[in-house]
Amino acid sequence: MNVVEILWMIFYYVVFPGVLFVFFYALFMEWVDRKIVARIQGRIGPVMTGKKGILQPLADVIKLFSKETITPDPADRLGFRIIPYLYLFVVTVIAFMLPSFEKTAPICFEGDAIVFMFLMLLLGVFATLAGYFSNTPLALMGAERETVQLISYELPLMFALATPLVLARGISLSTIVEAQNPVPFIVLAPFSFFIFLLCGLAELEIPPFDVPEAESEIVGGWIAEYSGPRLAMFRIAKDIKIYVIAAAATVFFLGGPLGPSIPGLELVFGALWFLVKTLIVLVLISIIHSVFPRYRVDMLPRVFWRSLIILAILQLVAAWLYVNYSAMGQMIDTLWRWFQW
Amino acid sequence: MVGVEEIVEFVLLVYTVIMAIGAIKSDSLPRAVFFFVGMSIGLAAIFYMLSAHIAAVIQLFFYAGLIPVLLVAILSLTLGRENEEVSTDERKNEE
Repeated sequence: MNVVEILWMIFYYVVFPGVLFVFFYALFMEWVDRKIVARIQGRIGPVMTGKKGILQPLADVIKLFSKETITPDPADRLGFRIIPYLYLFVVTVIAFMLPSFEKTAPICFEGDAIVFMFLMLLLGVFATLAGYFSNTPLALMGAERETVQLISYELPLMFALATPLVLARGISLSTIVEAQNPVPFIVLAPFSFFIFLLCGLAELEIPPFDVPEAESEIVGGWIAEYSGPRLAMFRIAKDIKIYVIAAAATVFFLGGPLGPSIPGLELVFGALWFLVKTLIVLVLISIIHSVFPRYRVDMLPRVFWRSLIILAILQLVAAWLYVNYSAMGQMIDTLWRWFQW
Repeated sequence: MVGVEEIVEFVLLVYTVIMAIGAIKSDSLPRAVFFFVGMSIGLAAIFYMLSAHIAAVIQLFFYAGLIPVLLVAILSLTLGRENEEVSTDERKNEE
């Protein structure tokens, strides 16, 4: 290993697409989200810190880190303390699994698409456990609502994410990106994309699916008892989660970093395409976020189970038929000939 | 000569066993779920070390992903009532 390789390794894991990129891009995404929501609601959004308020999310995080940490009396102390670290760790691992400027990612192995799905589920489980470990009425209520939301959105999310796996005929993210070389999967599976986007909103707990947080009803739900640095960790994790949802939509459905480029500059163009696509997804998320009101708790399972899951399964079957079309065509042909004979 | 892989495997085994004991022995149900998730992740990592990649992925997806969701859903249905029953039993004992 020479010096250039070591420097490249450090740059790769620390700067881009490593920790610093994920952290600051996530904060930037929060700023964009807040600005868009504010403009749609007729406000101007953050303006004070930095140019047009671009440093406001960072300032919020720094403020929270300087505040006091309070552990409520009835809480399970070990679990209450350990969950924020685990939550942030898992979100960062997910962010590292998504290919951002080439076909491979910092964390990349066979079957990582399935591990990605699992980690998305684990976040919901951790959120619920955070509520139960807090053991106060509002947090317990939030945890219960989080459970309802989790069992509502998890199956449509799995089916929506299974469609690209079927289309790509592989279970690793790099295979999925490679398989989208001429045609991105949003063309072949548009319903899956929108179902993923809606389930992503539920995963992010932003309106119209912010039932577990519901600040006007249960003051933050499972997060209500957290304060100071622990709350800051949840804030950072939530910002990185916005990045994860946007990046996952990009990788699974929009072709990831693939796009037209000049020969020799593929990596730069890959990063550029990735940023543009994630920002487009973010704008879509922000518009849905600001336009729709919150669903009631009892409406959530109905929304997801009655309509979205059926649509997701139909899309999955359609994708399977599309992939096996030639085999199916041959079979129908054979049957037809046999029938004629 | 003990290689790095053996050391990692041993650490994973110890971690998995500790987590499994924690899942059985802990008094609070949320903590038991938490230890169960940790145990399943450890087991998946051991499968991965033994180059059974698909088994590791399945273990991770079902035992560390979907089953905790079910456990948590059951928790949300029972957690309040369990305390009520305990209190009625105590009252009976007192009588």
